[in-house]
Amino acid sequence: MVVAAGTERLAATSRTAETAGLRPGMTLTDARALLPSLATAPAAPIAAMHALEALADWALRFSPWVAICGTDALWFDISGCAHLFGGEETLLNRLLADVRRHYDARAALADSPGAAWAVARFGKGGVVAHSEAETALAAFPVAALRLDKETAAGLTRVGLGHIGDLCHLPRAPLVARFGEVLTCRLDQALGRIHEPISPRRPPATHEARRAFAEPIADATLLAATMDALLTELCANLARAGRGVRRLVATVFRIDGTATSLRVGTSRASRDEATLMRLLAEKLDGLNTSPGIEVVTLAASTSDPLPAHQGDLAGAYDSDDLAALVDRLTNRLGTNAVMRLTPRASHYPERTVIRRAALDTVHATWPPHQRPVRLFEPPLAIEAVAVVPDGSPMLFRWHGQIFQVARASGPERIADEWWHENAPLRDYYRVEDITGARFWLYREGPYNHPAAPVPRWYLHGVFG
Amino acid sequence: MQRRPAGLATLQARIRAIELGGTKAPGTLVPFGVAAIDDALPGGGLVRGALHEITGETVIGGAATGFAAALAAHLATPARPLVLWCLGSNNLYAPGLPAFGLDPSRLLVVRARCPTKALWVTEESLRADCLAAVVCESDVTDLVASRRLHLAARERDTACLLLTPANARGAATATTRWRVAPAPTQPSIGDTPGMTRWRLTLAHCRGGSAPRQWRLDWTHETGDFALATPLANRRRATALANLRRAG
Repeated sequence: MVVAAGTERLAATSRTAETAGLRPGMTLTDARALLPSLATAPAAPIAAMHALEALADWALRFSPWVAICGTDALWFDISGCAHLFGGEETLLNRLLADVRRHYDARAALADSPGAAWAVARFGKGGVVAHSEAETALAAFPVAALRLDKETAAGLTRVGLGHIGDLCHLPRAPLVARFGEVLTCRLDQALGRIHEPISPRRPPATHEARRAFAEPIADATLLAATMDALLTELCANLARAGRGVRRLVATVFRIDGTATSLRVGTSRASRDEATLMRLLAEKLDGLNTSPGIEVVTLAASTSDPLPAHQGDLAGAYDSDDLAALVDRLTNRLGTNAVMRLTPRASHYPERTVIRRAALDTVHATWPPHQRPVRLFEPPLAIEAVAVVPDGSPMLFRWHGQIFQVARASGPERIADEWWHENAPLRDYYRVEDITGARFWLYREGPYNHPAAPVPRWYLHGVFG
Repeated sequence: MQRRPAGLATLQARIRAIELGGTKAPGTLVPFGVAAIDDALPGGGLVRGALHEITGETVIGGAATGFAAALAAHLATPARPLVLWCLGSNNLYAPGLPAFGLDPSRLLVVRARCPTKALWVTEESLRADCLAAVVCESDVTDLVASRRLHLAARERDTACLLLTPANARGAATATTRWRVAPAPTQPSIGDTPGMTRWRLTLAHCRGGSAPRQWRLDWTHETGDFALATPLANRRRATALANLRRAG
């Protein structure tokens, strides 16, 4: 049900509703008058589109060339695929049977996309035999040519209500009256001119695929299959001089569901052992029931990777590091593994930047004496100083009293000028009588009108 | 009769080899450079491919962190310069590490969300060939887990340093267990905190003599460990000498 111009209209109808005479586009009031027991739900075009996309992904098992058509249909280019399923008829029936588990669907198979479109929507569906399009389409209304409403209405008005009426008419007057689009659509439907289908996503250039005679549910067998597919894929990549950056393994189950496992590498690789380790971790939690019938493995992103010779004099094998980083990031996430570099800021909290784990960093750290542990946010403490603006003599944190034996400071650290209102800090390095060394600071200058009693914080501990 | 001591020595050597972990030859020995400590360790140094536990003695384990960083840097070689640090808490502060000889640009930091993940990270990293040491801020109480870590460390000759809090139960299979507490430094000019000093306890050492305790100084200019000179006893020593002279 959609709301357009203030009126609630039906967007889609179920088969039961259609038998009662309801049609998409009808107003809700009319629909209720025809069928008082009508149950409605708000239309969700985005969710519907997502479902269609998921269906298109799933349908890749029938053909690598699947495209979305409008908001409610899929195109398949099955050139070279039909024999894998035992002929066109069987392919179409299997496809329909699988889709109909979840959706109401119709399907047609023809020489041209236009003819298949017309037969699926206006006919009974099924396979249109080779070069039989003209006969099959002749009885259909002209709307089956994917024409806009005005053109279709105009054609009907002059008595050309069916496709068969148009086929043998002279072209020139038709074009003059209705525009080139009419003859173009007609030729497309009859297969006289080629109409290309753009696949939803370009099929991966490097892909390996295995279909099982009997569905498998055994994890060991699945892992062995993945291993074999990976060998095939890596050999393929080696010939092309490329390495995997992103690997997608998809398993198709017999209940029509599919799951994709994605593995990323930080740099191009075609090392089977490394990639298999990454994949094996993802395979662990995979649900194999009720059985897997097809497995595909594709290098969805690849980079050039020429044959490589190890560096004999190298300090350490950077491949090992890359492999380790990949294993860690695939399990923990990209942000969990990092390198640290200094940043030119005075505030201790902001002096470290996190970088990607494989960035080469050559940085010099400022030579200040800094703690090895920094508390974020700083811990509030109570401190007693000998002189009001001097170093603390003892301080209390968490009910424990620390007696200061030695102290050095203050080191005054102020925030950058573009950060307003941040109070300056006087830092002290102090050592208590047991020898533990702390980094304390007093917030703001002493005797500041805003804070007459100075506040103390424990910011870090030294090693 | 003369052959007996030699036979005994061979037996002792064999027992020591078994104690150090089976028939495989122990990994690289890295001496501390401090004679007193090296003497207490079997073979005269720390075995790199093994599990070592470092425990703080205070709630805030600053000293243990410093010692772990210094040890990790000490174990690194030009062929294996990298150290992986698996964080348990989020307060490791990189600008403080160069003072212990550990350049943060040689550090790979991993944030593990739970102890189980931390164990996994540590074991995976130990099996990589490019790291000198893996520091793990997690208490490993499980016998199987700590045995796995030890085996992984030995297999690739990568040090596994477990940095545990003061109240940790400790790993059962650790080759050495160190307790690190801060020690009062030598008073310097102006009564300011001096160089880093630890009270280091070797609480457990497989195949060596334990427990032993030292006061250890860390000189960050040279990057060396050194035994603290017993300045504190000087007054008493002078008094004793005076007494003796008077007597």
